Amino acid sequence: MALPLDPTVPLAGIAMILLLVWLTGGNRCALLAGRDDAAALLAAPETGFLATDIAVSRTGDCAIARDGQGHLAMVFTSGAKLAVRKLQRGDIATVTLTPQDDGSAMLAIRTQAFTHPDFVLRLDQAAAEDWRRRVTEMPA
Amino acid sequence: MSDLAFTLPDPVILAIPAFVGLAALEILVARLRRHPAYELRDTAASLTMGLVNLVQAVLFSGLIWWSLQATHQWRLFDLPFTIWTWVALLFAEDLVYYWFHRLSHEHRIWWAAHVNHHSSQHYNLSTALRQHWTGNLVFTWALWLPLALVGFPPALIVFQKGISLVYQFWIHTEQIRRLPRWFEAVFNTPSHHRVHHATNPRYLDRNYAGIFIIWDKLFGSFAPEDDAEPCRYGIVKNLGSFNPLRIAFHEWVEIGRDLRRAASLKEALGYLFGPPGWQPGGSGVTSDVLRARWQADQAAVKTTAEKTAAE
Repeated sequence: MALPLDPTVPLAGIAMILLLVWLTGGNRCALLAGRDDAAALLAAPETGFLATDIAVSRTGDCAIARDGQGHLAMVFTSGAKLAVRKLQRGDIATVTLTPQDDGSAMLAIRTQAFTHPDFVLRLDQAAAEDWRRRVTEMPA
Repeated sequence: MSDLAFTLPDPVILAIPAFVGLAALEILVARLRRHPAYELRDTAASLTMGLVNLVQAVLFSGLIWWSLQATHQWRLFDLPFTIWTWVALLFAEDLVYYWFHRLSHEHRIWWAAHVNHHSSQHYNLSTALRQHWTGNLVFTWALWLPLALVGFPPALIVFQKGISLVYQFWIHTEQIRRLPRWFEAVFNTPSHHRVHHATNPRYLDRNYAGIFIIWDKLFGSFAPEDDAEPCRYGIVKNLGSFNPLRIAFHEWVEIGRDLRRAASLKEALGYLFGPPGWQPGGSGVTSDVLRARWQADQAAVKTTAEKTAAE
């Protein structure tokens, strides 16, 4: 049976577009500029999360924020863009803290989300412990 | 009549080289303007979604064609295969598309199939190809059957659906800001469709048009692009994933989770057929809720500014 379309046409097209995107710097990654950057994203009307405290990972690819009621939200890089996720208490699967040799600690939060379930922040050890407590004590 | 199906070309297949050429041009223009519009993983995901969409379209084509033919046997009028029938169909099919698109945003079962088209945080021609995998499984094609019942030839309906899809490709770009006023007034344009892909509360669930923007103006869903408020593209809860499987099925997984915790049939129906974001007891954050909050914030800002000016 003849196919309704010669598959080489779309496949060659896809290859050409991806090559062009790569050649024009399409593999760049976003980084958080700082707390203000994260706060502005969280405060966008569609998210409406008014952060009172924010910690940005030393790696610049993730931040965690808390509002006045103790609710938490994440800001994270998604390729060349930044995305936001409000955390729900019931969605938290695990929270682990791994001390590093340089005095920092890796705070890993695993959620039950189907897309982007894992968040890892590299923070000062005291800050990481503080944020772990906030995650485990987050109100419903 | 069925022979005519093979005399009319498939506009989408014919347009594939143009899709590739225009996307290549957009990549280069965006680069020259020092405003990169494309990202490798995002583009790869969009193109993969488009490719699989083509495959599923072939798989469903028999069922859809048979349904149109079967419905056409009960037609109310004998519309001849003429240019005037095509002109009438141009508008009739576009009206059907408007309601299909509106239903796809306002009811979660159809949103689950359509959401992947909105899941990119970029807005470029590759986004146009980020098409559904599951829309035909939830019978969206049935919305076109009334056209066959009216009497439009099925081959012409399929052809016009293709024309509409091809038209909607070029409007997925930031490289064209505004077109002449008369064109913006009648046709769907890049400006109108940027609004449709934006998550800003004022833009949510607006501009469902396919080819003619007149339907949005007629049915109260039109919003113009305000240059003072740039569009933020994507969905309210952005995915953070470039995996096509996760893009295609994430909302179905979320629906499954919600259905498992539904306390009653009414709740289950609400999760399936309510607007995206619906929760029992009115606690959900839907597009209407987000827009109402934004409007309240705007009103408060205006009141404060007026008080300050009066003092």
